[in-house]
Amino acid sequence: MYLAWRDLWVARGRFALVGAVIALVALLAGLLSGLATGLVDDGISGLRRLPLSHLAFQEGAGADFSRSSLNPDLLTPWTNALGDNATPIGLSFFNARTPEGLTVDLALLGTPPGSFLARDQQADEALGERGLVLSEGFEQQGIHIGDQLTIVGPDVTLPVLGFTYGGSYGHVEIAFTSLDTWQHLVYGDDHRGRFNAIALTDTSGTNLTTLADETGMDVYSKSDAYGGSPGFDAESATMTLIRTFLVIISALVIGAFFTVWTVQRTHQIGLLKALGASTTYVVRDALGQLAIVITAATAVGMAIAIGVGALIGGDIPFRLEPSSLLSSAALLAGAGMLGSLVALRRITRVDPAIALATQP
Amino acid sequence: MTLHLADINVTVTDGPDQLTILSGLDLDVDAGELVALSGSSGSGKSTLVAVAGLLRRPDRGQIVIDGENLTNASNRHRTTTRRNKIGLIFQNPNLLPSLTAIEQLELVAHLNGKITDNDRDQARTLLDTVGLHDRTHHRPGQLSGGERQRVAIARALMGNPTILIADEPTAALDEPRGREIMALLADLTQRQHTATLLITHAPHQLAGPHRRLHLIDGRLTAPSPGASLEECRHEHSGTLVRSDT
Repeated sequence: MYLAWRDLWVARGRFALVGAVIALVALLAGLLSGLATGLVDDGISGLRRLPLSHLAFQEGAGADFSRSSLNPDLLTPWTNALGDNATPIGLSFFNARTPEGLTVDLALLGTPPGSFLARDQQADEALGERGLVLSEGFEQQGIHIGDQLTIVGPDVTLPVLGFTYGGSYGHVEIAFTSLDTWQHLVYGDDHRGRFNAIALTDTSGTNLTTLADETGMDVYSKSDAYGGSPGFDAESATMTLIRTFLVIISALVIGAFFTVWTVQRTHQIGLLKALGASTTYVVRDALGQLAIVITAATAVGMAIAIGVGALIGGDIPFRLEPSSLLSSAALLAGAGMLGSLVALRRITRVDPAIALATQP
Repeated sequence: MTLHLADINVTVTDGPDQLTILSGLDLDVDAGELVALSGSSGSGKSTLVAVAGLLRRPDRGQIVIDGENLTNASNRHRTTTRRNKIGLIFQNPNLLPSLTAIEQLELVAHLNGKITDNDRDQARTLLDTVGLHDRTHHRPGQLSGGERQRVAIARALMGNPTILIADEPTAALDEPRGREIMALLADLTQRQHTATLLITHAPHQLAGPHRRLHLIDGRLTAPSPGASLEECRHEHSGTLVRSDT
């Protein structure tokens, strides 16, 4: 690194320029990371927060609550095997209206009082009453405890009993209610105890696949069930595609810069070898230099992304998660180093005899 | 014998033809001896430098440095030998633009792993020896052509090489600077006790009783006393034309 540091200092203008390009790519990667995490949160944070490990759906429903309809007979084998660790839930999307005319969307999740899903005692008590426990997001929309919300469609009015961190599902804030209330809202009086899925927890010692086969149902782990959230798979695939392109672009940009830089340094590399530098020495010097540029530029880009992220608010689903940000940075740096392999190959092949040639 | 080249042959392919660059060349240089070698363009001088400096393998022949036969040595071993036993001076100073004069020398020590206080002392001493004690922290862009070549000479002597190979070190310099550099090389050969092979287009710039050889068509020949390079070329082709220059 003897030469690398000095080159960096003397040619700081050139390195600053390429560093700025890498920093911009890192900024973009950071913002995309925030958007991806935000979108995921918006899609499934409500489901992720629920203390369940698996969900059992009607066969062929594909983890989609709206396509799955189960009856109490199908619940029995699960409660026989797992006891209180199996509980029915229903989840449907509704519009609701306040007396002041404010309209909100809600993902209404119904679960029985005493269910393991209601960990909080107050929340559990609220489920015993006829009403709604809303995600905090509704509070920010101007809804207060005691407000009367009319569920559009069944035109049933329910009081707001409280707020909790519920998150959202399918980009809609979650509202909790008792399973009984949910069943009346969705199916009317003739609901015959129907619900959408069975939430499971602490399933060790139980062969869920066998149980699902016996009951003619499909069982999904919680993360696999995220795919049932409306638009989740398409959004995830789109974000993954954009991030993949960004990583490829990053690899190409850094690789191209490093290749041009190496071509310009060919005589210098030959000279170093002529003076007795081993190929390892030259490669280590070049790689070290590249690592410094990439690391510094990526750090700057990510720092700006954090700053910009702090300014983003409102309706944009954006959340910067340290692990996601770090993995984006690592991926970017790795892609850059990978892109420079072509140039490294060139370094190993420089003939020291070119040091004898007169420089133009 | 510090540098011993025997029966060196180098040929290159030029389209369908095979061109012989060096043909059965023998050369010995002792420690403390400076051999000045001249030749016209295309006579094989640079190829000889490349072979003697372990930068190129000959097609045939033997290379012995400090008693060690390096003819079939691995690339790694040749690199190590170049680093520890050979000092190279090029036509252009070939200094690294980002390094100061003293750093150019310290780099040579760094190639071996680290720079010790002794290395720093030696670098300062060498720059002092070549008359650049007040230019140690100047980068190449801040030095004149002659000063750059002096730094290159000092760099070649860093690490106490046993062999010094200078490839037309005065080619880019004016006459007075060229003579200065030649005198410096002759002086350093004595003081550092190196076996110095000096390739030059201008042998007249070198004063003193040094062994002088001419390379013509890939073969070495000793010129007649007082003969010029032009005469020597004619000698070799059988037509001697004397000149008093």
